[in-house]
Order: sequence, then C-alpha cells, then structure tokens
Amino acid sequence: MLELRNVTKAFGEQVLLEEANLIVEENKVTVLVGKSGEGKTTLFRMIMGLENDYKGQINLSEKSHVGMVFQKYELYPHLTVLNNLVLPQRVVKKTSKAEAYKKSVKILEELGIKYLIDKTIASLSGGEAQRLAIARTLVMDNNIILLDEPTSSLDQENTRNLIELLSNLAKSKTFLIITHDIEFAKEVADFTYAIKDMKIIKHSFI
Amino acid sequence: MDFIYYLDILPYILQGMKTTLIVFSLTIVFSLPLAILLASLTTINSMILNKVISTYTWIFRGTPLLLQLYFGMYGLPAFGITLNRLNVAILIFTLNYGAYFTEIIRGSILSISEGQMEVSKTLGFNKFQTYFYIVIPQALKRSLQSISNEVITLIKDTALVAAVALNDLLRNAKEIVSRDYRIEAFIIVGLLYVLMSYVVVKISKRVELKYAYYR
Repeated sequence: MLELRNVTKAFGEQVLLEEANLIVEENKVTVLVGKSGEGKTTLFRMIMGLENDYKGQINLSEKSHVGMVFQKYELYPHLTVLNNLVLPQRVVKKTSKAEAYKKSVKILEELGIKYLIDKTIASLSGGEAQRLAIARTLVMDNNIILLDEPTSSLDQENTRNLIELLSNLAKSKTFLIITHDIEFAKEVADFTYAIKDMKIIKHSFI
Repeated sequence: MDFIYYLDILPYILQGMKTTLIVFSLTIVFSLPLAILLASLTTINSMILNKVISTYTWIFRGTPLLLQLYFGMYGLPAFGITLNRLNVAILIFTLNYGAYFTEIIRGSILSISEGQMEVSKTLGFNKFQTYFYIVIPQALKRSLQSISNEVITLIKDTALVAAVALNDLLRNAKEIVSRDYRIEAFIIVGLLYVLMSYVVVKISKRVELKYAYYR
C-alpha cells in the first residue's frame, strides 16, 4: 500500500500541495487527473525519491516496491530490448545471467512483446516502447507502478491495448496513473482523484 | 627505380615507425581511460575537483605540445623526476591527449538526458553503476567522431617526439635524406603516415557503424 499523509510541496512561493492526503489501494488502478502544472509529476518524483524537499510523509507498506514508467519511457538506447530488462536485474539485484534472462523472457511474453526480444530501442513504436518500459519495472519486482501520462504519445488503438493490459495486470499489481486524458481515465480507473486547492480530492466524472 | 636503395633504407625507417607506433598506441591506451575518469569526476559537482580538472585541461590544451615535451624532458628532472625519453614522450602525450579527450567526453556526458539518470535511480542503480553501465557507454558513442578526429591528429603529432631526441618515423627519414641527399625516404614515410591514418579511419568507421543503431 502507498499512502501520502499531510504532504506539502512548494517551489519557492508557488505551493503545489498543502497537507494533501491520498491512499492508493492495492491491486486497483488509481488515477489522478488534471491539467499540467498542478504538480502531478512532482508528486510522482517525490514518491520515487527523485524529489526530497517536501513536508509530510509518503508511506509504503513493507512488501511494497514502487516503479515508475516515465512519460518519455527513458529506455536504454544502447541496449537491446532483452538487455534493457536483463541489465537492471544483473546490476541491482545481482541476479544470475540465466535467471535474469528467464525472467525477462517470461515478462516479455506476458506483455505480448516477446517478438521484440533482439530489437533495438530505436526501432520500437511508441506502444512497444511503453510496454517495454512497463516490463522493465515489472522485472524489478515492483508491485506498485506509477505511469506518467501513459496515453500522451499513443494512438487510439494503442490506448485500447494499454487499457486492456492494465486491467489484466491490475489483478496482481497496483497502479497509480496521472493523466489529462479524461476518456482514458474513465475507462481504466477504479478510483479517480484530482488536485484542487492544493489538496488531492475524489473526482467524479460528470 | 632503385630497389636496392629502398631495401637499404627501409629497415631504418621501419625502426622509426616502431617508436611512432609505441607512442601512438600507448597514448591511446592511457589517455582514454584517464579522460573517462576525469570527465566523470567533473559531473559530481565538486568545486575543487572541477577547478583542478579544468586547470589541467586548460594548460594542456592551451600550450604547444612541443613546449610540453620540452618541459617533460628538461623541466621534470629539475623536480627530481627522471624518466627515459620514451617514457617522457608517452607521459606528455597521454596528458595532452587526455586533456582533449576529457573535454570531448565531458561534453557528451552532459548531453545525456537527465531522464536516463533518473530512471536508473528509480530502478535501483547507484551513481557509479549509472555512470558505468548507462551514461559512459552512451557518451562514448556520442564522442566517437570527435575522438577519431583527435586520433588522426595524434598520428601526425607523434612526429614531435623527435624534439626529445627519439628516433621516430619522420626523424629517421630525415637522417637518411640528410645523409644521402635523396628525398625518397620522405615519400616513403609520407605513404606510411597516410596508411596509418587510413587504418584509423577504417577502424573508426567500422566502430561508428557498429553503434549506429541508436543516436
């Protein structure tokens, strides 16, 4: 479980969040909607430890591991698809080569992109790159996954595919998504929130 | 054509080429790792370290290599450091080319997007691992063109070792020309320099092609 408690974040004079609270439920898709500049990406960066200057608490339960899919994916262009998944396991988790390969192939299979295994990153389409970025957070055993504007560079068909993928993965994973795409949010969300007056509030589609 | 004459002068020229190749290859072997290390160190934002490194690159890029060689030859002994002439040449060439490579690689490291480092952090890489596995490989690829240009310059710069009385390719040729009053030796070494440049160009093209799969 992921919980924000009384989180306050400001950049100089500009206060983005003030005493904001949020509980992200396990194995659900939680969506935070709203325009850019409200501090949604900053919130993600705080959760990921990329931004540490804030007040309040961000709590994770003991068995929670958070991964993030960046808006631009940030795949490793010098590595093949397979090695984008193998290298982090080898370096960070010290997984054996055989184990890392096995797990990578399994996850590529689950996400339906095993056919990309030896491809270069430059040759991937937007949808494929996104799947690989999701796969990369999964091979690292993350069970809470943050997606930053996942539909921003997807066409309609790929957006459909993403919605389907997320509903499958959400059986065993927790998702927190920020998006300005209301249609997508409606389709995918179990819970929807928005930032209003520097608080995170429940959002209902009208 | 006087083949006997060519056969006669060739061994001495090739002996000079050996010195040239030793200086050339050891300079590459030592200066590239030095540059990778220094370029990486400049990105950890230590003021003192940055000052030291930028002073080093400033001095070695801002003064003639020939002067640096003279200094190595005649200046170092004044500080109690005595090296043989070949080692002086290798040391000075390494420091000089290390300075150029440092600036090239530093620029490439700075051009790698912040996102690459951030995503690595979220995956659990520490700073060193991020540099070693993610940033430096990409930075080197971006530096390839500039590095190979410098390497071609290095081939020709090796002729400066004659200043510390080393018998390199050009110096040996010059001795032959002065002795025999014939210029064939110059033509031969000219061809040898062109040949060496050609090999470097070929290799760098091949390396560039190998890494052309990403930008």
